[in-house]
Amino acid sequence: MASHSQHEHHVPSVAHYVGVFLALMVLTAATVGVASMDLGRLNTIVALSVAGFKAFLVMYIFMELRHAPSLTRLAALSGVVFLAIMLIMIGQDYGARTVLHDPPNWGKTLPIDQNAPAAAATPAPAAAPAPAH
Amino acid sequence: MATHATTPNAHSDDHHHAHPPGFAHQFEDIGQQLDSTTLGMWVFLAQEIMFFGGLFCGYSIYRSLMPAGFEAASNHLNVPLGFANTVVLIASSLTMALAVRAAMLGDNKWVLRWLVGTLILGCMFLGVKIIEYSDKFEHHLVPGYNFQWANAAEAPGAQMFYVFYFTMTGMHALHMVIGAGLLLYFIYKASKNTYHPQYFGPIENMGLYWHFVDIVWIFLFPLLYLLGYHLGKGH
Repeated sequence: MASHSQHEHHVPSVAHYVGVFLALMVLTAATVGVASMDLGRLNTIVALSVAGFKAFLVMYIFMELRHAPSLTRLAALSGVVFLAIMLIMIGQDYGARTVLHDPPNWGKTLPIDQNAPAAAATPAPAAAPAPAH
Repeated sequence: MATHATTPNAHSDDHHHAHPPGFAHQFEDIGQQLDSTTLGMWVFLAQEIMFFGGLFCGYSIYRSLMPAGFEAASNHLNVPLGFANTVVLIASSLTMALAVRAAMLGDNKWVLRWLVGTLILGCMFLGVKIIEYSDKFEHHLVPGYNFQWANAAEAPGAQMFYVFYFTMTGMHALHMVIGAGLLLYFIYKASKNTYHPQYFGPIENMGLYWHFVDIVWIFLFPLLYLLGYHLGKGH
């Protein structure tokens, strides 16, 4: 970080930017094309993969992470990592709440005991004896 | 160009290099200033990722709970308009990137032109959004008391889809409006020949913000508009 006196800025080439723009256009058109077909779960996987790649292109080229200092790249990456942590952990939580997938049971307290039938939605011991006031 | 006169003290000559215009004196040099402001902007954007991430997370959960209603409701969105807006927004990212490049070269005339182009494209995007929103009002697709959906089984999921549609595209549009306001400020600054090869950090940060808003749309378009596209024309 010491040699800043003659800070070398990489001035990006116009051709580079136009190329990325065209790539983003092609990928957008491809997304629409794939979405018009019914591929089941694959629809979402393809759509998110292409969108992720487009986001990477924008961040890496347009947002100049390509020439950014490591610290800046780390800050950019941290946003993505924390997003992944949030989505994965919340996804696991909701994926495990089987009762939630049964609309009549929405909002009811889950039985803690795995062996207990879900129907026995007794006022779960979640509200463990609260510390006496 | 006259040297900047923010330092009344004559000892500024003691520094081993002259202070270029736009230099803030808490920094070691202009390079450190640029790195610091860029880093700060990215930290802000990390926070923005988490903000929109929460909305995407809620969308994913409710979509997994009410898949049929979500797909049917998505199929009512106008894909050609959404596609057109995607093209417009990506084009505005290109003009924004070119504005930053012009600022790096100190070419204020082209900074101004590219920023005006970006502003026009941004306003086009918002204009299309107004057309789409008014269509939703006409067809009773705004969640709440007047929401109407023919298929009773799909209705709760469809309404929930539109809750997320309006929240997510609304927050995105709010970011666009704020971005347009910032663009006006930078257009003014560029018209005053503010930027030069040593000082272009603010324009660069404006670009980072604009590109981030573009990225949000890159995810919103497939998740909202294309989710039910395979069901055939519903519009």
